[in-house]
Formats: sequence, C-alpha cells, structure tokens
Amino acid sequence: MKRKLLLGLLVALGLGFAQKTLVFGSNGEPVSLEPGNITDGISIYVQRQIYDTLVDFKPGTTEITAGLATSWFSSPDGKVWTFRLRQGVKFQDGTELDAEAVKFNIERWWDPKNPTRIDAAARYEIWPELFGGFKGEEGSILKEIQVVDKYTIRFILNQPFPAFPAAIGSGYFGIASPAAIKKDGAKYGSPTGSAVGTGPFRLVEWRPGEQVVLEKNPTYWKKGFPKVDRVVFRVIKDPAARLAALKAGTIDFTTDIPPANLKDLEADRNLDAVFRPSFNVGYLALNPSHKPLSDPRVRQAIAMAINKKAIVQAFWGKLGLTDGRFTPPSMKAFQSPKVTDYEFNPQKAKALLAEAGYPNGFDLELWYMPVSRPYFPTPKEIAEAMAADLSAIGIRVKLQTKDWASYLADRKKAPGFQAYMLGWTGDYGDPQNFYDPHFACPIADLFDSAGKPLCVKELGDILTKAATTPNLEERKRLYQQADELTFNLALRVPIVHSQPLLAKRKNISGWVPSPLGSESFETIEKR
Amino acid sequence: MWSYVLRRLIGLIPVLFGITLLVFLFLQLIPGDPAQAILGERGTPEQLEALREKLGLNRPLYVQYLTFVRNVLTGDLGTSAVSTIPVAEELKRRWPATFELALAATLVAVVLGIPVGILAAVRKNSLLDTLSMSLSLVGVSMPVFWLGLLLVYLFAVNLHWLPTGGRLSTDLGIDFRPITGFLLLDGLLTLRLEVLGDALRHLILPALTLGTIPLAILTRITRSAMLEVLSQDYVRTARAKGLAERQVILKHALKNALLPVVTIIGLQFGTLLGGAILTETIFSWPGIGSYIYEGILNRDYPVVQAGVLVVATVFVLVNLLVDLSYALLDTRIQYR
Repeated sequence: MKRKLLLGLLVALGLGFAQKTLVFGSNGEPVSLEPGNITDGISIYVQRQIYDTLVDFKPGTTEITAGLATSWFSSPDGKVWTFRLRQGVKFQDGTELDAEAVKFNIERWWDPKNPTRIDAAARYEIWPELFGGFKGEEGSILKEIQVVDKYTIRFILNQPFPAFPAAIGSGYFGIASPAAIKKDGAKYGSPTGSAVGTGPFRLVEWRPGEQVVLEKNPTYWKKGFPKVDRVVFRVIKDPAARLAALKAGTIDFTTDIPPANLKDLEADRNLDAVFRPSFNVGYLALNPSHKPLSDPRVRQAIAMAINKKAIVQAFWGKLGLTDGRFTPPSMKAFQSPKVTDYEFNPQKAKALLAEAGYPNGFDLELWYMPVSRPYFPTPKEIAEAMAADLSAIGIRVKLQTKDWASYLADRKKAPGFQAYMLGWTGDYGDPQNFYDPHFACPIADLFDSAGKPLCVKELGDILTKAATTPNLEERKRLYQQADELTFNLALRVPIVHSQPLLAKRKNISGWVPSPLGSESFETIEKR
Repeated sequence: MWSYVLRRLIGLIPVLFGITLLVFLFLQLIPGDPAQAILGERGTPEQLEALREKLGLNRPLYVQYLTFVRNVLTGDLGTSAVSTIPVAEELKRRWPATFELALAATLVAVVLGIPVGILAAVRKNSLLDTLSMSLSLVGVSMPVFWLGLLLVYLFAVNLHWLPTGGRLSTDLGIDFRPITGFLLLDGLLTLRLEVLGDALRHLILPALTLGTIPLAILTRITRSAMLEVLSQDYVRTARAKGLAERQVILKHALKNALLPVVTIIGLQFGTLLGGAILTETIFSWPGIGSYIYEGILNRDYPVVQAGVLVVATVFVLVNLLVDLSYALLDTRIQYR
C-alpha cells in the first residue's frame, strides 16, 4: 500500500515534469471570471491569463503595445478612436474574434439595458468609474460604438480622452467570446460556468476556495507561447501559510508577501525575492480646513520636517522609495525635472513655521489607517515615526484611528480629518488616473477653512485640460506643471512608492511582474 | 422517547430565532458602513449609494431583519455581496470539508484522550499522570494559529513528510471529481487509493491542530470522571468479588465514567464545526470556517449571517444527540 502510494506519487511527479504545471499561490479567490464585472486584483490576475485586451503593455512597464488591436489612432480633435484588430484570432471555443465581438463586449459593460446582462446581481462598476458613466448617463465619455468593417472598430467619444487606449487596455476589460456568454447566461464567469477568451490559457476547472485550473490554449495566436502546459491557482489566503507552501515547494510562485519576510526569502537558497515595479503612492493628506494647515508654508514645513528617507529605509528597506512626487516612477515622462524632494531640515522647517506665525507649533490630529495596505504595510508604526519627526519642530501630534469603513467615509465629511494617511494604486498607465481622483475640482476629501470641499482652481484647470488634450507633448507639459503644483501645494505629502514583494522558487524563470498589478504567465518557464 | 425528541425539536425553533436575531444585531453593532468597507479607497458617493441600495442597507432595520428571516424560512440564505454566489450553494459545497476535519479532530481527541485519561486516573500520581496532565495544560493554552504554523514548518517545510495545506495535491485535485465531498469516502467509493492516501496525508496536520484543545480537555475530563467513579462503592464491591482489575475498570467503571465524557465530546464537536476558522485559514482548508472568516473580513453580511446560523443549528442538533445518547449509556435516565 505504502509502496503503491509512493509509486503513485512518483508517477504524479513524473507527469508533473512532463506536463509542466505551474502552481501559483493566490492570496485569495477570484470573485468572477467575467470581464468588466470585477475590480479585485485576484480576478484580474486570473482573467489576464484567459483573456486578451485591445492593447497590451510592454512587459514590466506601463508602455502600450499591440494586443488584440495591432494599431489605433484618434481623430485630430481626439474624440474618435479607431482600432484595427488582429486577423485570424480565435476564441478558445473556436469562434472568431472580430469587430462585432468587441462591440458585443463593450456594449455589455457600457449599456445597463443590454439584454446580455442577464445576472441582476452583476455590477459592472468599473466602466462608469473609468469612463464617466453608463450609456445614457450624463457623464458618459462614450457616445457611440461602430463596427467599421470586420476588423475595424470605432469609438465615438463625447469629449477627447487621450488616455482611452490605456484605460480600455486595463486588465478589467478582457475580450470574451460572445457565443460563450450567450450560451452560459448568468452562469458565465462563475465557478459553474465557462470563461472563454483568446488568451494563452483556457479555463478547465474552478473549484471555489481551492483552485482554478487553466490549460495551455492550443490555438493561441502568439506562436511559441505559453511556455508551460498548465497553470494552477491555488488559494492560500494566509501569508505565513503561503510562504510555508512556497518553501515546501507546494507552490512555485506567489504575490503579496509581507515586507517583513524579505530577509527570510533572501536567506532561503531555493527562493528568489521578486519586486513588482511600484504603481502606487502612500501619502499624508494635510487638510487646510484646520487653520494652521491652510498656510502653504506650514504644509511645506511638515513636508520638510518628516524624515521620509529614514522612514522609508526603516519600514520598507529595498521595497520602497521616496521622491516627493505624487505619481510613481513609471510615469517619468509626465514628471517635471524641476521637482526635487524637500530636503529633510528640521531647523528650516521650524523657521518656516515661525514665519507662518506658529513659533511654538500647534496641535495636530494625525489619522492612521487601521488596516495594512500595499503602500502602508504598518500604518501605525509609520504614523508614530512621523509624529516623532513633527514633535521635533513643535507640532504636537495626537494619533487617531477608527475602523476602516468609518475612516474612509469620515475623511470625506466636512471638516474632514486634520491630517491622515492614505494611498492609491493605479488602474491604468496614465497620470490622469493618479491626479484626477485626488485633485480634480472639487477635491472631495480636503476642505477649505469654511468647511467646503476644496478646489485649487489653477490645478483643476490644468488637470481638465490635460485629460482632454489629444496632443501627447502638450499633455506631458501639462502634467509636468501638475507635478510641480501638487508638490508646492503640499496638500498631500507623498511619503512612499512601494514595490510589492513577490517570491518564486529558483527553477522558475521568465516572470516579469507588471507595475499594473497583473501580467501574463505565457513567458514563464519551469525547469 | 420519540415525543421527547419531537418536543426538543420544536423547542429548537425559538432558540434558532434568538440566534438569527443575535447574529443580525451583532452585525449592526460593527461600526462603519459595510458598503464603504467593500468599496475601499475608491468609489464616488453615487457608487456608494448604489451599493447601499443593492445591499438593502437603506431600508429600516426591522425590515432588513424580517426580510432575512423570511428568506431563511423559504430556504433562501441570500447571495454573497462580494461574489454574488448564493450562500446556500457555497455552504453546501463547503460543508463536507469542515465536517470531515471536525470528525478527524474529534477522532484524534477521543482515540488519544480517553485511554490516556483512564491510565492517568488508574495510575494516579505516577509519572504518566503528571506528564499527561502537564501536557494537556500546555495543549489547552497553546494558540491554535501558532501550533498550526509550527506543525507546518516542522513536518511540511523542513521534513517534507506532509503537505502544507489544502485537501488534495494539485495534480490529484485536477483529475479527481469528488462524489460526496468527503474525500476519504470518495477515495474509497471510486477505488482511488492514491486519492484516499493523499487526502489522509492532507488531513493529518489540520486534524492534529484542531484536535489538540479537545484532546487536552478530554484527557482531563476522562481522568477526573474516572477518579470519581473509582472511589464509588460498587467499584469496591466489584473488586471485592474478586474481578480482575482490567474488568473492573473497563466494564464497571468506564461505562459510568463515560457520561460526562460523551457530553464533552458532543460539545467539543459542535465547537469544532464553528471553531475551525483559524485552522481552516492556516491550512487553506476550503470549509465553512474559512468562508465565514472571509465573510467577516469582507463585511459580507449574508455570508456571516447564514454561516453562523447554520453552524449554530448544527451545534444545537449535536447537543440534542448528546442528550439522547445518555439513555443508551445510562438506563436510569428516562425521557418522557
């Protein structure tokens, strides 16, 4: 019996080698494998392997390259976007990808009355978030979608949206097989239904709470890919358990490792630490409704008094960097060369405070988040370090927190928190996605001294213009201005751009983590 | 007897109502808006409002409660706010995993706890007695999470004897279709011995982790129950009759000592069903415990409400079974 077991195990192992199964340790379960109807990172990660998007991104960057579309261009006024599709691409169910199929997908996301939206519980919330609203709603950026010919699709917009290709190429919007959606109805993308795209792998089985099994797509349009036969997403939610599974070899690679485990990873000779390029910002928001903070000199003094380099070194080590900018380093093209971070200088900060009329400092309530986020893994300790720095220039900090839901809601209620920690992880590779949610007028979570939502008109105008200007060089110039302006205003003091920590076993190669949070596994090889 | 059973079952109804009310109210006590918690850093006020509407949070409290009860009565446990999968479906699918684990943990506790408890009582104050009592003290006080990870690092990461988590190895998980969901049983039914063996290997560490506390409790209870019975007159009589010590202990004493032990086994089993949350999380065990845990983290009210309700129902039913089993063990107890 025992020998039989052992034999069985060996056979299984042998098969594993012959079959090349890649096992990914997933920190949670996909919510749905239906594109456009999810916002969580895990669903996107799995979907990325099954579906392709209209445009793709150069591995490891936010730079746009060809995806299902081979070329695209906008009209001179920036309101019409035309995409030419790759020919001869087949969905995994054998049906063909054409302009009609793309239109079918887009309308399903955009139009709440679309008859293929069978599931009443489905939200499709990401479409209005990125494109201003659903069909028929006032803010909807999309006006019309046209099939020009079999392989050409055209988007007519209500206003110019230069970031359109980047947004429509984000991982939410994988193109699914219309035939499969029609066939499955409400079950599509759920554990009991199918999920059919044109991507490198096809769905074999989804066993909720346990694993999602994908197999190589034999008709994949990119020749020579993927490099393995099978991908298994094993659900292991607890980070310590996931690390144990990686060490034991149960899984080959994984994401979302707590930064504190970096040393442990580096000490294990079977494992490699892998860094995901940063696409986030963790900041300290300074609310001008609190009188001392309404003076920009006070806010600048705070930015100068916090020893950001030391804090990042202490809490992130190799996993973080601080540069005083609101956008992450991958947005370099849109950043102003004139911005260099405030130097850490308590004396100068103190002098600035005195100049603003606070020689003896003031009292400040600083709110830290009750939960760990990628940009602030240990919010309380980081808040304590900032408080210590601030007390050195006479600002008496009282640390505050409350439950996460109230924290998020109350910061937006006038007069808002005096100072609070929060952050942002981008959806797609365009600075608009960083600036607009935080600085477009009115700013929903910062208030002026009268308790009204703050609007910095100069910045707001720049952002509006930048969001609609078709000319790339002009956009770059505008966002560089926004970079300088947000830096000088110091309404939100950027503390860190953190690199999420990932890990793999040594025998895995070809894994290029994307700053956008999900990447194709097609290039990964297993020895 | 049957009328007693019937009466007890009817008596369950107010109890279960009470449970639904408690669960519902407790969830209301959690500060903060669940819609906001689900949306996180993102989301506009409009989206927040839409989600609140969808989750039914805008309706008065009593309407929310009545809807919940009415749905439960019609067998509808609601749909998960996060995954939009019906909760009943998910609970049904996860149930065997939790049940199998709780059963295995109970088995660990019973098979080890009762004999050790008996031996400790019979050889009171011996080395074995002292040792088992000290160990059981450690067992009760050890944090489950810590013990679980310790076992994983020792037996899975360092020694490679056992898997780190899950119910089946990845490869077997791909090609094996469970019938009942009880993998040990399924392995036998399909005559797939490698599945049986693999499932068993996956079961060992979680069962040990989950079984440690009941094991420790059971050892102590058996010992003290045994000690009490051994000092009774009829035991002395039995000995005086010249019965072999073995027979005195196993036949005369044990049967009477088992009464409190069975109560504890029942209670512990019920606790295990609901208390498997931590163990299931450490070992990525796809059961009800990890489902409820996730529901709590995500503020997924339907999941938490239904999950707790189901666990509580089972708990109450197990207690009923314990009461009934008394009659089998002690003929002096009668039910009217």
